[in-house]
Amino acid sequence: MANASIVRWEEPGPVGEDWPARRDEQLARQLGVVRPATATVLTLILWLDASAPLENWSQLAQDLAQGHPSRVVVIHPGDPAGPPICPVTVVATVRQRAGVHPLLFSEFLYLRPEGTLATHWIDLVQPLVMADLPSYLWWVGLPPAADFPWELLRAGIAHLIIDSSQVELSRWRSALWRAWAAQMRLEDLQWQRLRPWRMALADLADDPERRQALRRPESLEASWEAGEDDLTLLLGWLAARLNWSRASLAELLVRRQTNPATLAVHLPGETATLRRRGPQLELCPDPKEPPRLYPAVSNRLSALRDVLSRGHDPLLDQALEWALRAIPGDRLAD
Amino acid sequence: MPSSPAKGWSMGHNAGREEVVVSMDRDNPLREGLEPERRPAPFALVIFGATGDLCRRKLLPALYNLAVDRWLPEPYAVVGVGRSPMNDTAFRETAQRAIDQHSRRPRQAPVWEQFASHLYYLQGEIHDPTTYRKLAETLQGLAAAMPGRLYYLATPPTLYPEVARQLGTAGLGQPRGSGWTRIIVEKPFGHDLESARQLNLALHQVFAEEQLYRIDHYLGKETVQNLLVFRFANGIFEPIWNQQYIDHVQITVAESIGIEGRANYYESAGALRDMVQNHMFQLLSLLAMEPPVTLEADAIRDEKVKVLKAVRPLAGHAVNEETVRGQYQAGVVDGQPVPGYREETGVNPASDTETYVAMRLFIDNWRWAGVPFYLRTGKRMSKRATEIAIQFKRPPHRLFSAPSAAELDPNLLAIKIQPDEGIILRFGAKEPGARIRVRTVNMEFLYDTSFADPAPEAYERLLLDAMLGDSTLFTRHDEVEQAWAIITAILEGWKRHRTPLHGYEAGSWGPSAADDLIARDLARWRHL
Repeated sequence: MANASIVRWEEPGPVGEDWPARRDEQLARQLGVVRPATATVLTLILWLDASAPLENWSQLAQDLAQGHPSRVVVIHPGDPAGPPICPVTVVATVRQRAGVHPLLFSEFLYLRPEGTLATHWIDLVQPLVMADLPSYLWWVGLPPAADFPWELLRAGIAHLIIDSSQVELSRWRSALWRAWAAQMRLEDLQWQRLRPWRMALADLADDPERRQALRRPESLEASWEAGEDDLTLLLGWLAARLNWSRASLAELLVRRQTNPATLAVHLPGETATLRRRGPQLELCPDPKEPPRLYPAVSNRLSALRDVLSRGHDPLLDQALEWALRAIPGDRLAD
Repeated sequence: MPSSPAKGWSMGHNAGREEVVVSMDRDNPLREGLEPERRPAPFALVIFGATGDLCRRKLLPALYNLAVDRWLPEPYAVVGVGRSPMNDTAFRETAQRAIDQHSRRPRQAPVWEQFASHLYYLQGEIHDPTTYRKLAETLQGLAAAMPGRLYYLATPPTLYPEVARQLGTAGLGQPRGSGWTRIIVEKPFGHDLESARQLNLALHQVFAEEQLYRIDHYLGKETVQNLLVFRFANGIFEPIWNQQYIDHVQITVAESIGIEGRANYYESAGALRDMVQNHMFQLLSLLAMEPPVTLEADAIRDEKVKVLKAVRPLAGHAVNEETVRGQYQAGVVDGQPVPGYREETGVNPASDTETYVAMRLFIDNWRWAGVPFYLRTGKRMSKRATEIAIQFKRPPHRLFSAPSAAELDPNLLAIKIQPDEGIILRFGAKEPGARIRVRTVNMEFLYDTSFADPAPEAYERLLLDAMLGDSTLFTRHDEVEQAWAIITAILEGWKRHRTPLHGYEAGSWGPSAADDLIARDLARWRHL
């Protein structure tokens, strides 16, 4: 961001409803009067467990602020047996403007709760969620236990973001059903990465004859890298859109585990092949036709920005429901 | 099963918007929820007038920024055509200097090197058929890899018909195989209704309307595009967007600069042709149009044309009553003394050209009946500002009467196009205290304080749209002709009725006659 200042400080914590006043006081001390950015502001909570990757999350918050002036709160619980403390590290991105007050474009709060505060982190987060603005919880790490209070979370946060490329859908299955039941809106960063696959298949189906044939393909041959859940999600979308039954898909589908990921759709008289090729996806509708390339969603930040910009996609609900029902596991929602 | 390479593909293979149209197939259940891919198919862009100011200041920097943002496909080629003797290397050096001086983002070595390798130069005269034969050979060599062709006429407008004719003669006007061919022309599109018709006719001899992209860079501005979003993505404004609630509308395009050495052009154009016929009528039609059925190009352009058709013609003496002409005299702008228009280099010392125009228009349709639209534009005005102001009617009953609400202004919605892009809503609020006192306050949205990403330049957006075959932000022939019909009637009226030319001091807000024009309706111009 042009003309940006990064301001860092520590707070003893915990912080609550008094946060804006505390923040403004600190910023005034360091930079003079600073005003918050208006409009398009959202709250993004990141929940990190011990399995979450070590990353520069404050950098991600700053990058995110390029498109979405935001409050990003990272909850990284520490020792639950420790004293009830919650030190806070704050990184604020402030844009300097000639002749007018500087502008707060993003605020990043890293909360490290311990003791009872670690187990009651939802209470810590709720006062930091800005009212009447979009709010997201991105769960980075292993899914929560079966008794996780989704209803409590739902009071302030509308969207749950997962990344099924990091933790498979099969491990999320029970938690997602419960989150759904609590009326959380589900988002998956992997859904954004499947976009080139969906684009390629949609292009294929633009032709009415092919579209008709796609409703009853002769067979599907999927060669996938280890971790097939994104294939399951893709097949869930295809099945939901083309009215395939699970039984017929089970008959049609031949799975292999190879690199690169490939999906061959055998139609009467031709085979269309989608194959991952480096940073792109290649569609070969037929040997007689030239291949077409689709750029991949470049990185996790792009996928996250897509989720935040486009809002909830009801087609993901369809695909996810189909995929979750197809994954063997507990029969909670069946 | 289909075997034709083109069948079922979203790659364009004609001159129109095939890739967008096909990819929007509503019968395709897999298409739902997917935005069309905004990446053009491989193409060759040919810029006529490649050594000129427009190419240097706008086109090359815009193309470079599109490359930075990875909007350009692989492969692509930019072929500059100009009279100056130059080879590819020299053209690339020219481009490098242009980007260093005019790009909104600094030149980065890896992106620049990649971009520069796509630049080529072809020396040739516009009137010489050899130029087009050489161009045809160049394009033929590229055709297999780059089936799309986009011509950009960055030449004086008098050359448009000649370039089009020569392209047609050389067989370069129509697409071949699976490719597409489009042509972008810059304003002015004629200087009156007749010349606009002639120009359209000349261009249509070679190109179909679907191939023609008439550029008005105002439509590439984010804030202008936001007019559509503001009106039609929000539910609260459209119900009050009519004569029942709106008292009047003001559209201001004020420039603090003079004619910047363009005396030749400006002497024959004047403010009415230079600003009102294109930029201001674009703002007017986007503001006043009915909701389009879809966001497709023709659906929007149909509605814009309807607005222009409903503008009440200024005929007879009405021209003198409804318009004001002005010309700036010596004065002070930004603290610097500046000469009057007639003292500018290249200007006739007895020039009758207007550098300011104000007018009152009415749109005779159900929505806008009786609502005056005041338009004003001028050079060497107090400051640079483009704004649309919608003034609402006062409340039907004055509950808070004087003196408690003595200074209460009617509600106003100001859409600021430039600078300080944003939207302001003016309303009354109670002043804190034991007594009821109402004061006017502003609720303000500014792009600058809401979005961190800088907006792309208008030419970036428009070039990309032309590459994609999306003509929504380009002007259609009937739109141009309808705008010229209104302007030509005013021009003829001015001539017939000897409409006076009022002097105004440079650095002011225009002649006092313009204040009188709006004061007749008990209104006044916004102080910007």
